[in-house]
Amino acid sequence: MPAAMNKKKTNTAFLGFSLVEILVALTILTFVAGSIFSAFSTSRQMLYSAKELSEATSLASSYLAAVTQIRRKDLSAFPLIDEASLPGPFKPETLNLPPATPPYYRKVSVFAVDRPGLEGGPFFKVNVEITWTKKSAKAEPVYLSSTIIRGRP
Amino acid sequence: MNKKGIILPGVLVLISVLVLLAVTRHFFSRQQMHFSALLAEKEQAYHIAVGLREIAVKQINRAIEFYNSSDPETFPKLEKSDATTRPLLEKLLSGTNEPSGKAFKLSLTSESAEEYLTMIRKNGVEPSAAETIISFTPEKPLFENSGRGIVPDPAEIFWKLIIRCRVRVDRSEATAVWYKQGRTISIQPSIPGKFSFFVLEPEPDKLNLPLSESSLPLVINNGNITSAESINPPESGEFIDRQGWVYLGENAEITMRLNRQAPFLNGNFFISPVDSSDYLATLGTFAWYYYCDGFDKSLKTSPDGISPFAEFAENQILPTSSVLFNGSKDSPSPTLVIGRVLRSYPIIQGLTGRKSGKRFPFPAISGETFNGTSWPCRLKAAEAEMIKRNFSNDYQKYSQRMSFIYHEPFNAANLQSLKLGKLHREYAILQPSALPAETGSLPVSRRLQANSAPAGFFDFVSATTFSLTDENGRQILREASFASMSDPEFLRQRASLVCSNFKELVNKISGADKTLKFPGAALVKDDVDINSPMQISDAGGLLLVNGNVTVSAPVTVSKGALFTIVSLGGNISVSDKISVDSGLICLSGLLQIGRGSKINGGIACKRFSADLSGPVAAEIRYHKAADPTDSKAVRASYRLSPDEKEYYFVE
Repeated sequence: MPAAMNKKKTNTAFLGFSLVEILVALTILTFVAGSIFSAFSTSRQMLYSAKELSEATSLASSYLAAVTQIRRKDLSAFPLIDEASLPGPFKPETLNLPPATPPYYRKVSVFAVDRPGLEGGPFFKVNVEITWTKKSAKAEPVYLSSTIIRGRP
Repeated sequence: MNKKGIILPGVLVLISVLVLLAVTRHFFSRQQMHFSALLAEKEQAYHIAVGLREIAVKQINRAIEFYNSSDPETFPKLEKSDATTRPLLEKLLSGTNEPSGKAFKLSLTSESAEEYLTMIRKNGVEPSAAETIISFTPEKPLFENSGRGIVPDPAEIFWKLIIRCRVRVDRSEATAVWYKQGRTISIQPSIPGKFSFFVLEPEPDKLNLPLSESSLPLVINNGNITSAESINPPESGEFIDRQGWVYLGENAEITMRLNRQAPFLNGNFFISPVDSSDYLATLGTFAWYYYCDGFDKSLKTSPDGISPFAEFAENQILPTSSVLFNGSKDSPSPTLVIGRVLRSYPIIQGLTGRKSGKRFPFPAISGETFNGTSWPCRLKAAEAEMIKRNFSNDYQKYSQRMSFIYHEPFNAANLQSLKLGKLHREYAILQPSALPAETGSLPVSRRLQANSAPAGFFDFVSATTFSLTDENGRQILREASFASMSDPEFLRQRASLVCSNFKELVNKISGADKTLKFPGAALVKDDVDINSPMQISDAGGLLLVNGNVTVSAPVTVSKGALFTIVSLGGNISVSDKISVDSGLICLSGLLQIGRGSKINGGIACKRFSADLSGPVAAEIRYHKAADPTDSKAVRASYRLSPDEKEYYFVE
């Protein structure tokens, strides 16, 4: 009997976790998990930002590459306007480009450089501004790119 | 197994794994963000660089266009260039406004580029570096020097031109590059350009024709015009050296039978006293007379019913020159005629009454007729007897006073343009050998050597080899026959644009105003039919054609620029009454000119034919800009001729 009682006492000592152990583990987990999830969230946001920036870069670059095909006689200057309101030759569909779809918005402005044509101009500076909506951001992000075109003869 | 104490290490392991995952993901996210940002900046830099390249390419093209213009307002090029073009021209040209042919690198700036960059900065994109570098590299000469024949012009070379526009935005850099090959050429048609009329195989029968009353000869205006007796002999060399010359083969003898429109035909009427020992002197009222005339119907029947001349058959008198090498009678232009070319004209001699002015011609007759009683020219037997008595019945003595056809080297006509004072009038027939010693030595050519000796301007110029130098002494033809020009391959190498047909060429070089801008020289592989008016830009150029060329519509060139149409292997035909502002060259074919056509440029061909049946004279007007011996003309003839292909890429 005493032997059996002794054996029972020993087994009981190995059973379950101590409250302290659980409390310590939970405390550590609580502190660390927050940082880890925050890190995961930041990474996710960075990936989104990278994707958005790449998308914006692509939208701007494809447009700037396409406007070089506009004929010289169709070139004109205009202030920054949304692509839906662009003059005919500058419209994405005229340039065989897909329009920017939300959350991305493409705006274009064209300025004449060397207006008197003294240096072989007028050259036209084409600005493309890509904006996109982002809930977390306070202000809309903007990607700007520009080039010079003279138009095809 | 004791389970107590395992949960903490387990949690720690879990945390480690999660931290590792988070760090890894964060690292790759950061990298992705970094790459996206770099890409965005790279794209910005790229588009800015492309924009700068666009400006620079236009700047280069403008400089080339300005350089190539023949507009007199653009000379001298360096002084007349604008601030944007000048830095480039300073590198391209030597101090004498000739192509320097030296390699260079130049940082290109322009107000347009500055304005563009300022606008970009205002938009918030800050290029930390933006530069445009142009590099010009000469590659090899256009022609190899063979030692003889045409001496290559060292200015004619192949080259390559590269524009590099490098832009840095933040951490990214992009370089947009433009690359083009090209050649510096002269649009002068080389040696044939020195000639207003160059025929390798002239046919004398076509140079002398029985012209009808309604037909007029072909007039060749060789450059500067001058009236008779107007040039001081020492200055005549330079004057004639600058003219467009005439080439009619090297050995075959050709006689030009002058007509009345021929300039420098001495029309003066000379009177001299009868020798005191002669019978006629005893009559006291007569004097000798003589004058030169052209071959004309009047030689058979003069207006007063007395033929002044001869017993020649009509066909010996009426065929006259159909080509006037010295311009027209009203606009004589001396020239140097190369070849064994004679000019012939009748010398009318006779007796004139000092008081009555009545003339008794001494006709050209044979000894048999002289001894008979029936003389031509309606001379009565008594009158013939009187003349015979005067010459002691000696035909030899008579023949020195009778009318005759005179032959002289064609170049002797140039003496008529010299200011020789009384001498000119006292010598009916001017020859260098006949000139008195006090005339002094006549100048010789400083540009043409015939058989290694300077060519004279007043006698035959006939040789087996010729050398030609420009006015500065640079040799452009070395000991070669002009006949070697029959192979026009020396022109083909200049063509930077090659088209399969004329329509393709017109499409490629036609400007907005339909003016054709030749890129220096262009080659068409097929025949060319110019059947609608053709306007050439002030850059002029060379149109090389493998086949035949037919011109049935006017060809006009802006601002007097030099333009030449060359058929490399065929013929050239110009329709009636067409004005062509172009030199015409077909050195292996036939050149045909229609009635009343005006060719503003020299002609060079193997064989020549002109329809002269019309009442309007055809005309060839030499274009001085084609003269390869004239330094100013040579300087103005260089063209930067870029190849058609251009390459755009990014480094």
